[in-house]
Amino acid sequence: MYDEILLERSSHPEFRGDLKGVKSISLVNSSCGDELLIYLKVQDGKILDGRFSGVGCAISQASADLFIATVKGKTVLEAKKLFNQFKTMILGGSGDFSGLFEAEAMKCVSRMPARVKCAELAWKSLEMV
Amino acid sequence: MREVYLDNAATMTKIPEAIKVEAEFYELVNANPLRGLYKKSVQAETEVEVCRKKLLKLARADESYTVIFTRGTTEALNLVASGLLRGSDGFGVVSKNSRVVVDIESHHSNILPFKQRYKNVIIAKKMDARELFAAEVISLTGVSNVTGKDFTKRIKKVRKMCPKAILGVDMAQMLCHTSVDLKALKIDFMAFSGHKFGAPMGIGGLVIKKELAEKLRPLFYGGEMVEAVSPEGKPSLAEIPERLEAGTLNIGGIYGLSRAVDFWLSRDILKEALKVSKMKEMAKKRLLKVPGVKVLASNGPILTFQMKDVHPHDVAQVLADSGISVRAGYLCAEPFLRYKGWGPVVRVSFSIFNNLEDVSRLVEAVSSVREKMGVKNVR
Repeated sequence: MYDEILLERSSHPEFRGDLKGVKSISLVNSSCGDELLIYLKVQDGKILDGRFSGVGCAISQASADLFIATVKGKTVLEAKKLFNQFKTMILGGSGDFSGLFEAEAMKCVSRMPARVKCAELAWKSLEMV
Repeated sequence: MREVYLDNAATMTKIPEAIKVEAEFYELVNANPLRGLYKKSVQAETEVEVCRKKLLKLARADESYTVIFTRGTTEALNLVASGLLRGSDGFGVVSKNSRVVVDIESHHSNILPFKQRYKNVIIAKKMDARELFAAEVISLTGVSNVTGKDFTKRIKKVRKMCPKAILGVDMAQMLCHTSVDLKALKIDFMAFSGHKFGAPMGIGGLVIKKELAEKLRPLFYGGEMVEAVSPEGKPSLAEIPERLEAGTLNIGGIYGLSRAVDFWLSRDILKEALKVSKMKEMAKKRLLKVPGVKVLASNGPILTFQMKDVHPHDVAQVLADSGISVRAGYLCAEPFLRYKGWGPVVRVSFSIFNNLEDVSRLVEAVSSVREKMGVKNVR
């Protein structure tokens, strides 16, 4: 059902926590009841570091962890391009998703249309950076 | 693997005869009722009127009530909320500043139609004299879609406390699930959806006091709801119920609805409900033994629960993977779930078409959730 990476990321997240001095971005998916706070340390258009906290389903939490893992070290512009790839992937589209690295584990969501909102929640923080 | 359907509160498994007659209508009759002079049109029109009569019988409503067909409960409640607002067209009986009361248990469909149109909408939590003070319109939940709780007693109490208010009930989860007696409830209107009791989707309605229906503003204007239209486009509106039913009705749906109503009229509804409730009780007893399961509500056909450390959507996803269909989330009753401090939940809802094997499949699947999600066991 869920990819093993997804289960591992939701139960043992790498980036759960906060970043001192960084303003959080609050995101809510009311269909599931997922709530996330995303912390992105951005300098000169580059995402230097990131953390997340919140509650929600395994997909929203794992996706938040994988989101930070993917965009850390990228520019905001690069991250936004990856978000487009990510969206195509979870909506069942075709293409080369290797740039998403581990976040490719979220591909299983393409079989679960009701969960797309959970998967893309963390990524939406990029629209508010 | 046979699919086990346990989301009957979202839409009930269809009564086979009800969907058969819907298809047959299009195969054998397929005529637009009203004004048609040929036999099949008259036949369709007759069925519409017969269905209205059967619905009145089902709801134990007397001659002072009529039936307005709509797509379902949501449209029926929007028709009431919009139609009651007094306007320069002569329709309506209350103003947008009038006090409207709905209950906290309400489905979104019983809150939003009023919130969008009235400034003074109270979402009552206690339903006491203070909350009901000066209420001009009151629209209550008949049976909660979250907890399965039957509010018949509360409705009667409110009627006594507010004898002059316009009182209505959202019966989406109530009609055919418990005994309904409009004469005893003394309400002014009730809204229902056929698909919640085995009829096709897309047909439902409003059972309303004729006297009140006369004052309702139509929600839609167009064909079938006018007697004549002048060269300048000025309409002479038809009588009720047609005035409130613009456009071609869902006649196939009405044929199906009519057959579903026959199905329930030929049965002892309370006895059937008890059978379903007993099945759910067995599920509850066994689920309580599954580590991590916390039952939040259990009434009638509905069982609502959460599992420790696993989000309700993940529980439902694991169940879906095991061929079991349940619902998870806020169940279109977000204010209530937040008020209770529950947040999202998993809801299992049974119908007369479920059996004990379904209970076993459910329990087996719920027992596998923690392992499948890689969450360590509790207790």
